[in-house]
Amino acid sequence: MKTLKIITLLILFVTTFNSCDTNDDDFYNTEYISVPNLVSIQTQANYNVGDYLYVNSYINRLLAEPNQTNLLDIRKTTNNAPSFAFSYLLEKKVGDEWILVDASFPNIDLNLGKFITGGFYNATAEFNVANDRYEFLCGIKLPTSGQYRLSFGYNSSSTTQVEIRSNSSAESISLTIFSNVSNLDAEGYYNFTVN
Amino acid sequence: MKKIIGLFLLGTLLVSAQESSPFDNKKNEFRVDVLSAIAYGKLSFSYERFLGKDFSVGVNTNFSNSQKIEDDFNDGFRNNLPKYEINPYVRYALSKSKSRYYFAEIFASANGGDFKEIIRDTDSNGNGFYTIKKSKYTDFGLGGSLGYKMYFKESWALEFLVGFGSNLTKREQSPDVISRVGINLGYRF
Repeated sequence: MKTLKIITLLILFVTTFNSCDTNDDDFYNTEYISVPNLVSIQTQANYNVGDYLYVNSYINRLLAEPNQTNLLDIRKTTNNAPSFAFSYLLEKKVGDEWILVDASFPNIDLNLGKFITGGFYNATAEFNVANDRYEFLCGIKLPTSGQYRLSFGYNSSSTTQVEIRSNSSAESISLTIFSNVSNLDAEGYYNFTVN
Repeated sequence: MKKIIGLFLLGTLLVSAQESSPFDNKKNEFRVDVLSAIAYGKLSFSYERFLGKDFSVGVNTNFSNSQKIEDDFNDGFRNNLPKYEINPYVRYALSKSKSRYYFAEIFASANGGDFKEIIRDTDSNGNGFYTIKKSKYTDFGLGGSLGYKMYFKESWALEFLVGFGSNLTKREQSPDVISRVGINLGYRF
């Protein structure tokens, strides 16, 4: 009986880990590329209370991919993914803490794409057939004076780059684009002051 | 001299008596793996030929048809889809009893299935695009197992088996690890 118990436990243990493999520790439908400046902060020289800080993203269907001789068709790659998404944060310094700025309606000016706020902002650039590109443009109202910072490191493995992911269907290739963003410091923040 | 001959004959009789067992005339066994069928949707059949006192040889074949593994493959959670294995093996009984015993085995494996990778291609307009390319893989491996077998009514076998091996030639495409885990029901004849 003791033998059977040991063997049964051994089989259960092995069965549990049986499907583990170094070939399944990645996402095999995901391709990673780097293309700079696909997301921009529309900076101003000065900011006043009530101004909006705009972030835009214009991602052409055909992208110049580093170290490749021809352009990359991201629509064909993603099997016509309807959109690309990325995350960012706008925080205001309150005392010693950085607090997420309220970006719910009517504190945003959404012109293109979709915007969802929660513990971070989720921006979605939707494909515009007429312009043959994915587009997002949204401004967040700066409610009070003080120190602010904007960053793209949330949900990302990089602080100085924004991680843009295609919203592909399950069996299609998911394309993740790492893109450098101008105006970020070494820690990945765009710092500014609202008067 | 008579005593020596007597002892020799007695010894021979004792050995004969020990070797005589209900299994002596049953050299073949077929088994089906119940655990693989339930847990992995895998059909697994084995044949074993008993050669002598402690050794046996056999072959196990199995065919996978797991919807979960296929879904994981299609959704990109794994890059291979194992479909078949042919595993010849040699076993050595570790216990003296013929009706309940531990055994150790070494096995080889010829296995294959589908493999997928993302490649960069060029379309008719000269633009690049990434696409998923599916192909077949075949690999060969070696491994070892331990098990416990018990017989009921001298013919019906219940066997527990736990073993691992490693693929050797195309590990970037095939699963690194070959496992031989099963609860087998068999018939010896």
